[in-house]
Amino acid sequence: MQGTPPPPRVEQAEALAREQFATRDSVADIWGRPTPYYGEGQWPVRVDERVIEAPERWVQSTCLLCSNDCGMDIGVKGNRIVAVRGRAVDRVNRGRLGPKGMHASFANNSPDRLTRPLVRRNDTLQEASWDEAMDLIVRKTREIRSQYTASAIGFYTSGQLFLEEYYALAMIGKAGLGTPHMDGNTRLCTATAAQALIETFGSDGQPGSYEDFDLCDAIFHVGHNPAEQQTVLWMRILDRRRGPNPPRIVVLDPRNTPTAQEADVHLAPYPGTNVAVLNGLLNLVIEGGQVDMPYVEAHTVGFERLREVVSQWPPERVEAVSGVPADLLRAAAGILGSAERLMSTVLQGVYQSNQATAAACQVNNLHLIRGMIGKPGAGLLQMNGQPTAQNTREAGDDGAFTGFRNWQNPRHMEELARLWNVDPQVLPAWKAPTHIMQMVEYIRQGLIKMLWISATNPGVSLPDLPMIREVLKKPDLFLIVQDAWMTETTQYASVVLPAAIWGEKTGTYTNADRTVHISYKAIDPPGEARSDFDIYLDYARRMDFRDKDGAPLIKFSTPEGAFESFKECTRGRPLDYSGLSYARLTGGSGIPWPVNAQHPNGTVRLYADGVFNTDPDYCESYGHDLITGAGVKESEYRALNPAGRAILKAADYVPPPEVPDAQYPLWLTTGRIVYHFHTRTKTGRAPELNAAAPDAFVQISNEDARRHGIENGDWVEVESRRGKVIAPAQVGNIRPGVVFVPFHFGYWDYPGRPRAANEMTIVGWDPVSKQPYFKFGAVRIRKLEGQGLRERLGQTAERFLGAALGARVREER
Amino acid sequence: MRIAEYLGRLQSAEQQLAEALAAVARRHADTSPEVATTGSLLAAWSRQHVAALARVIARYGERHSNQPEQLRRTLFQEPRSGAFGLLRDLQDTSILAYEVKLDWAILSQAARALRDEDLQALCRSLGAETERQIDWLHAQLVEAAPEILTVPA
Repeated sequence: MQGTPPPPRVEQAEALAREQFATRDSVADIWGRPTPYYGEGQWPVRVDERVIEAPERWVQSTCLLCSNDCGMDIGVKGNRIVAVRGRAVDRVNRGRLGPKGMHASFANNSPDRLTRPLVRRNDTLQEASWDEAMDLIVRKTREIRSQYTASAIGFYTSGQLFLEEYYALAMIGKAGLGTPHMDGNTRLCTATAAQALIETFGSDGQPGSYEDFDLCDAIFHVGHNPAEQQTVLWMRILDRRRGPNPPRIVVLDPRNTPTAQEADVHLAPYPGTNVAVLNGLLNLVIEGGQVDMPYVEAHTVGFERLREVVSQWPPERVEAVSGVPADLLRAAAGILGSAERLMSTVLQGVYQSNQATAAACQVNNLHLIRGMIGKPGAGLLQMNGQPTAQNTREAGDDGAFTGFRNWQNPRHMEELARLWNVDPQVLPAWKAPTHIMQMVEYIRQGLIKMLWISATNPGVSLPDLPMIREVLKKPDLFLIVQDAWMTETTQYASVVLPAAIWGEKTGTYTNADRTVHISYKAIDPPGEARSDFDIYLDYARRMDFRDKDGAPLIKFSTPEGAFESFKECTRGRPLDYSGLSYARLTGGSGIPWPVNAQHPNGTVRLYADGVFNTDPDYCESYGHDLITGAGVKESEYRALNPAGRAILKAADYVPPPEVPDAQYPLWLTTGRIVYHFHTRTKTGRAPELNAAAPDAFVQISNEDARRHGIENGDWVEVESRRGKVIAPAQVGNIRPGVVFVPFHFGYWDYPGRPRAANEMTIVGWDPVSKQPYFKFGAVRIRKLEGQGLRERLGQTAERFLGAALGARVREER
Repeated sequence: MRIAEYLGRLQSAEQQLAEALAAVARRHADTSPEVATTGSLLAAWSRQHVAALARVIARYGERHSNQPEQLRRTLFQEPRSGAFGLLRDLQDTSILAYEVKLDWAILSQAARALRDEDLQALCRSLGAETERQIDWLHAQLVEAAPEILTVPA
């Protein structure tokens, strides 16, 4: 680092950056002008902003459109959002914003917001007062609970609520009603991230930090496409790549994504074969003598078993199973095995695929055997997808119990009951919290009678949509949907509650490197819309939930009060928030947890001392059999005696449950594109994003296109055993034998033809994390031609098609 | 040596367990894809155990036992469906798996007395897989039981 000038002071840098980087067209120029750099703490400030009208005031917030959680200020005029600006002071983005943040953050202003509660009468949704809607919900809750028990009631939330909202709902569900059925769409997103961290390190919590990208000399993106999913993180990586000491990059992805195009080595396996490839890499690293044996001996258990399992995976066998050429595998292992500071990220290409947790754990293993953890530049992020996914896990709204507590450990449950002043018997700690696809099955069987969905859209995002629609419209299901807009899910609701969203409420959330941010209310919500927080508290009041002394169960009435209560639940746990406060989060940068007396300024990276959270009395879980998913018994876990050492869990490859055959000869994989988030409830209302990516498409390789006589832009039908999609073809940049369809597109703005990727996906999930499979399945494809096609697809088809191709050209550039 | 009796009994029990797991996986595929997928995988383990035992039987001989088959027929008298049917099927499959587990334990003791290291190793590695089958069945049971037994359908 000698000879590198010190970074300019923040305020100087900010002024400089403003001048140099006037608002860019982030749709055309996704990552913006490079700012190359070298080394920790030196990523230059570059302030991105988008101003529609001159704001009267700026309000501190945090972007809510991917798991990066970039520091962002909201510019307000009157009661409208008129500008957004990256916060130069923030450690996550140093002023930058991506296209989703710069455009979809204005969706609050869209004219079609829900402004009044709706209640189903005579089979139509009709406007109602809050009193009427909430009284109905309370009456139904009481009826169902007394007739069928609280186990007939389920909650399904999101990765987009605020920490305080998740926490309030966790108290309602776990201590108020006592139902085991609480999950979030984070199950589709980061359930495997949490589970892989728990299996290896004893608890949730990302070991690494974004700051490690400043120092690493090699990066391994495993099923992760940050160029499109986390554009601001990708800016940081690109800036290292353009700097004087660029890290090498290895990418594992069946598609030739923009991330893969930047890679030094791109491994493109068949869907579902990640474990074979990762075992092959581990084998080469071990064979190559690149294991940090002193670290392994001092800080891990299970190395011999790992060596035994991966030794069965020489490169030629990996090639035969995965299609990854042996020489490329060797080249990748060369980089991963020789790196001095290795940084890895893992995302949906692993989490939503075959053997999700087993594969994610092999990336943990790579870091452990190389001693690449807890030190500057070396670490890993089992990434999140959604902006507040981390908080569902922390608060206990998905597969977890509040504060990363182990439901199998009675002392943990007693502690939680004490914190909430309830009888421990109230807590539904007899089993792991029910995952969403099991809840769907329970609804189908008539065992769950009431489902409360908040801020998510299963009508597009769950697998096998033909089946999901049948379940959502069951007449014996009392369905509450809380959202800001009408969606593909609200149409089935018994009650629709209009929610205030980001920018209209105050709260905190935590990103994929544990950084906690605050986001202040900038404007009032439209009409009678209320924050999810206020709705939950209103429900708790009307239900009259009490603690064991007869006082109200929920004693806070503001988000800040909820934050203070949550802090007490985290004290002494891995995610210790006790040193944080709204005041500390205001004015400066987000702060990574744990923040406590020992780490008053937060913690950049975990496990610097090589002591992990695996102590049996402290761990979040005793772990699972990575192949069968069965829980490890406490006695077995104690016999393993991890005692603060990380657990190297080996797993052999198991083929995916559905593979192409003569009838359905191609693999289907689904995923995201840079301009959209989830089911487009916000990004679809940003005209620029919508124009850039207006419609679904079917990506197919040149080879497969030739075989089927398909050319770029041809209308094609893709069909699986579940359902089908009709969309224009995009030829190229994908492995032969594999078809890709983005999952964002549903029907709220275009009901003309089947286009949701999940019409085709299979019902099945990882046995450990229970995350559904979205990355493999068997399909067939055919070109649609003949008279009347355009008429069938509607007048807009050509316009959609033209714009979709335009987006492709931009993406390839 | 009566070890041949237990080799025959174990091989037959593994065969019955494989059939039960495969049948349960098939029967409940519509309501539980996890039982379908993992159940099929665990059935394959038992079929592999049957094949592995054939190699031991080549050395010690075998006296076929039809008791495990009688046990399976007694347990699974008619196909069951629905959530409660799944619970019952998983429980009865567990009973077959416990039979297999006991047979491995008994055979393992014989292997020690015979100083047959190959057979000891086989009992250890395959017996461990039987334990994992039992753990999985147990996990499915404890997950499903509370909902099915306490919520009126």
